Amino acid sequence: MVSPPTVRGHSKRVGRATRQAEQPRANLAPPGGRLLDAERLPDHSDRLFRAAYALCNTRHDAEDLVQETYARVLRRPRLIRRDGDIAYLLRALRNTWIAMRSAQASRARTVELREEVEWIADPGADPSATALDLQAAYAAIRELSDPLREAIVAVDIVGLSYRQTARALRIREGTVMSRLFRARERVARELEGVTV
Amino acid sequence: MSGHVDLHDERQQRVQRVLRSGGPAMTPALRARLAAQPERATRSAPRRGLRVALAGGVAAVSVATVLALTLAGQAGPTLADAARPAARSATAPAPAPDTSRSGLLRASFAGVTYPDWERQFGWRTTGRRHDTLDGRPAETVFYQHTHHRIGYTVVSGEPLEPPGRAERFVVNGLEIRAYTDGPRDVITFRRDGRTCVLAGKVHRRSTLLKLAAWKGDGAIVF
Repeated sequence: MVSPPTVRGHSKRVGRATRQAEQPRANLAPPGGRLLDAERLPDHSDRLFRAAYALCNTRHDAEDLVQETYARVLRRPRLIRRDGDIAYLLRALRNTWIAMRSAQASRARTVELREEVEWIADPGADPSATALDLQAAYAAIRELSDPLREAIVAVDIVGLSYRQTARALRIREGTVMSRLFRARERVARELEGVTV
Repeated sequence: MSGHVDLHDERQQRVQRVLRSGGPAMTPALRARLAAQPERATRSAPRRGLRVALAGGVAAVSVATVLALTLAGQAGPTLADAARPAARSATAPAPAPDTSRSGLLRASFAGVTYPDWERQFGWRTTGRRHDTLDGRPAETVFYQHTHHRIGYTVVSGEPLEPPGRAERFVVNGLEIRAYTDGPRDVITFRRDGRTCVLAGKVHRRSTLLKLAAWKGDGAIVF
């Protein structure tokens, strides 16, 4: 029988703790979690910006939201317990969005400028999808209620699983699935309008 | 239940494929700012003892600076000062459009030429005035559209800092700060290094943002 590896002279079972000990920053993390890797935040920027754009509707609000989220997250070390960094960041983004929106509402902000946003469609992901489809899809998401919008942003834009989404939005997985179904239906109707 | 959302439905799959195939792109400026944020956070997170010492030092310097400025009486104008002339009366006739340069008026101050918004937006000039704000010359041109009147003030010298509560917008690549001052909307931006202030009562703040960011086919230089 192979004896279990030791960390700092104490016998430990092979498992999560050992896997963490192999990571460079594991000595900084408390047991039961790991620290958010701040240096890899830019890797998530594209997905977070798209999520922010889908939530905010305007480019400058989305830019502010992503920047403010990063600023908040980087204010102190963050412990990631279960889900990945992107799930944590989406939760932070959503909380920041709610806070910013209530602050803006109190200032009675009314901005309705049509903005120039560059759309990028990756033919490798879906050869039939065009920038026009993407614009139509985001326009449809803009019209959704907040709960439906949050579900489709989390799953289809950020790429979280149902379980991660449920945790991020603090709802049940079944609720995630039903909201996602309704959200996709409405976006699908918009996409059909584009292709007709 | 699960049958609904197990992606058997082609319509549902299509939505997912489209949304995962791309989306709105970040601007290079935002990408650069985000990439720099972790470095800034690392730099701005010193140890607690050092932080306390730094805070004490900064507080001492701040007090000394405020005292010095108060005693010298040379704090300079604030942005609120710069927005004030827009609420006053014109003291000189309205400048005319520059017939040789479309989109501009025959009026400049501190190197900044005022825009002609009449043809494009229906805002016509109604007058101008000159002020000295805490020792700094400033020139205001007034515009009117229906019953709305706004002032476009250019302040000479170094740029003025917007108040902390001002919101930030980027329109047509122009960075604009906006806030409300009572019933008036105030926005500020820079042209050629000078502080420009648009202030007045308008139906929507976006009107001011749109006017400020208009480039007049390249005639308006920022």
